[in-house]
Amino acid sequence: MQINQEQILKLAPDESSKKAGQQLAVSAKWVVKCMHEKALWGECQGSGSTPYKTIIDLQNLAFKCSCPSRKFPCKHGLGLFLLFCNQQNVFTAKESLDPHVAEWINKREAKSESQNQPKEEKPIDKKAQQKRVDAREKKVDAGIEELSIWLKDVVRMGIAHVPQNPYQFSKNIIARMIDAQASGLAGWLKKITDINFYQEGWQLETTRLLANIYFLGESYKNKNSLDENWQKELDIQIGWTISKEEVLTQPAVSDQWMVVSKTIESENNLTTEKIYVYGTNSNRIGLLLNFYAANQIPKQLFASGSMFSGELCFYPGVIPLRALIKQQSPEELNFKEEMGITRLNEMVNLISASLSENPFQKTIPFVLSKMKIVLEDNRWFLQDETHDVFAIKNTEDLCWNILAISKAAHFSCFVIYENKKVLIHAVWLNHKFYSIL
Amino acid sequence: MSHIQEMLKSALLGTDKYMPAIDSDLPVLQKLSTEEKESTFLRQANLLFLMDEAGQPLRKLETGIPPCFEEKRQEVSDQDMQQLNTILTTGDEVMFEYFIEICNQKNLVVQSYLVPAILNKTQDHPKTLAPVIKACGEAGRWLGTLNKHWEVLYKPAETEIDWELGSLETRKKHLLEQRKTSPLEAIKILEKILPEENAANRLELLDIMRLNPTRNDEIFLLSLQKDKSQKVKYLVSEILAQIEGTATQQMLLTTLMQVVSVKEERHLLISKKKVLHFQKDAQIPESVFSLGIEKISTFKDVLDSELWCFQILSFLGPARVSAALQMEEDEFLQGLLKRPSFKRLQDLVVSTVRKFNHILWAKRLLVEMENAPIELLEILSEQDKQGFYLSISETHPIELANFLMKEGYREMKYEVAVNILDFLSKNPHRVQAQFYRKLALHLPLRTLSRLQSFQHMENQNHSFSYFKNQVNEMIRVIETKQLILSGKK
Repeated sequence: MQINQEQILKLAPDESSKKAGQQLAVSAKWVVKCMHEKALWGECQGSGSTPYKTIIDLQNLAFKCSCPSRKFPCKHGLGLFLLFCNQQNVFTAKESLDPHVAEWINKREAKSESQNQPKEEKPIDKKAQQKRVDAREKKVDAGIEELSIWLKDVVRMGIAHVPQNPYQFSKNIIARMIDAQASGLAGWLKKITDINFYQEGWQLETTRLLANIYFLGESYKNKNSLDENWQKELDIQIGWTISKEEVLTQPAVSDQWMVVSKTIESENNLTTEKIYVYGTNSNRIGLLLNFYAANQIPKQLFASGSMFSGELCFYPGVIPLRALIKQQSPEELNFKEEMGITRLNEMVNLISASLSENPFQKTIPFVLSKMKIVLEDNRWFLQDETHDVFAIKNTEDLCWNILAISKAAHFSCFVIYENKKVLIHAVWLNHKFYSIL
Repeated sequence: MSHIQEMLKSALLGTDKYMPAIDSDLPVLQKLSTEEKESTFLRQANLLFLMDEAGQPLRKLETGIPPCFEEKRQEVSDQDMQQLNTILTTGDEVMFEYFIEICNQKNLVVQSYLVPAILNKTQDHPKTLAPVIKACGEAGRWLGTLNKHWEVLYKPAETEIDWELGSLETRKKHLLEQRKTSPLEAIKILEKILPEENAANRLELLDIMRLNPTRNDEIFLLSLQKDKSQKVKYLVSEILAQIEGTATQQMLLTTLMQVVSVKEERHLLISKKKVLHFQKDAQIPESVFSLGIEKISTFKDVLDSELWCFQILSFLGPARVSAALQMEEDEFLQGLLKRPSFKRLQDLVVSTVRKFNHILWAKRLLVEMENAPIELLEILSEQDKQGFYLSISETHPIELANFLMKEGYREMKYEVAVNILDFLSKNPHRVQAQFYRKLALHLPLRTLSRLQSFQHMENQNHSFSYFKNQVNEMIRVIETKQLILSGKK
């Protein structure tokens, strides 16, 4: 498994774990250090008499430790992994797994296999299910009606006063949408509070969001006249969930997937993990979206710049992006000379096409190649070989980092388009991958 | 006004007050009209913004950023770059300085992706500028030409002196150069600038006159004896006392002979020994005190004449005073050491030894004095210093460690390191955490087993558990150091 120190540190749940993990990446701290193609394990001498037993699953990255920490991975897991990354020679190569390691690894393998097996379908009470759906639809319809009235009131009165108290402005209607079980709409409305009202341009962003939300509500009202994909798309946008089982019945896309971005956002005890993967053969981009409540353990650990072979099933929709992993196995990182799009006009055309096809798509991911970063009047742009340029959303410091990485030469990158700009998440050149965010 | 502006005007004022005027050239928007103006506005706004976003034109920019300068030196290995990245993210100053030092020693450059972080860091810590600039190589220099914040780091050192804008350090440096090459020119500059400087600056700038003072400097120095600052006057007297044949030197020598004399005493019936004899009621001219010499001893057991003698010694230096008293330098020091007042006045002797770089006296004092100050080591050669380290490590382990840590990243002797670690294990809170990390960089690899033995020691004492934590950190530093040192070139 190819993983570097930076990638390991990105797995740390917080800064203190990162630091503590680094302090444990010392050979002397580990009384047992063993490696096997399937796993790493060690025993770390803590303050107590019994050392903590730490195991790392190398096939499908996961950690296990006998310490009482509720962090995941804990400092021992990070420390052992960092030590392995820095000083492989201090590990004893084992031909077979120790019994306690084998027990855990076998359990994981068995669980993974069982997940891939089709589950025995429980008998569904279709009548009760339909009743629940009807009840929810009623609630959603009432909520959308109320939202529509609220939006009309807002535009009638004007939005000049919104910056005075943006939170209060949408607080009640957000709560109403949650009551109406339209969490998707609540999410759209929350975006209004994220707008920077101290910066010129807030007027455009606020109006655009209000108009878009209205359009979404109106579209939902008329969804029965649309095709099945559009109906699914609108359901998802409004907040209806689709079961994983249903997603896994979709046709799978098999490829070698490169993890091009991994970001984590936390709000109100809920952690949202967004992992973008790029199919190096199919050129498809998938978004693995995971939600964790406080202290919940992630099922899969991906490091940016790593690669895996596997099958992805995409959620239904007009332009499917969100996906679930059906099956996976680790793969060596393999950079192709050219990936994705090499011309910015092609990207702009795709943006136009995507927006025409799905106007509710606010962000569009791209993998670009043969790009340069350029600076004009303190503004940063991506530039292709034809000298076309496109504005960059990254902060100035990050743009300087990208320039330093590329040394003003061509590079490949993963970007996410949003609101006439692109945010560069990762850059790779000369067979090296760099996470930017 | 564009359609977007129209929409925004309406959004801000409210549709009750203003409805956007949609031209007939956009029939698609007009088609969206409904009976409700709010609904019409929201529909039209949505479509207009979508059309605007989907139809954005691309711009051409013919200019680009010039490519990075070609780097001839080899880059730091990927594994070592990961170490550096960790060092930077954890803000480990001690390891950062060490990494840069080793990088420069191996004539390597850091990979460009961390250069911005390093340059940003250096802006806040200009002390480490020169080695960092070297380690950042051509990529750093190239980025310096593009970013105005980093450009200042790459500005060449001032070559032409600007008295208005130049820093005191630069001016001093310039004057010192002048003093070496054309001393008279340096005096001319000083004569011109000193009246405009404050006392502290005058003192700093005049310090260059200590370099090989001659009779040619006398007139200038005498003119400064009327300076308002007592410190400046003292410095001038010190320099004048160094110049052979000056009135100041003569006056001090005459005074010395008035306050101290040498008497021969029989020793063990066969040999004779010279003994210093201080006049209890010596009268010396008032003009001596104008040089800055203290008039009355404030110590109960120190005679005024003793105090004067020790002060004159600091003006004239051991060699000149010994010669005046017709004693061997070592013999004279022995005489001073035997005085009960020596302990009170030893600081004066130590500063004199350091000022005159008197190696013989420094060695003798390090042997004879009970608590010899570690600064005396500074004037000794490396070979001479080594001889004292072990004994000092037994009495002053922390001070010695601090002294050794100032001198690059040389590893200390195992025995010395053990003495320091043993002392710290009993007094772990005497130093801060940073000290331990720095110390680890100077410990020989052999001490690793010693450190590990501390880890396994059973001791419930709170202080000792703090020490054990520091030991753990030291082991980490030593292992990291080994990784950096073994990094591929």
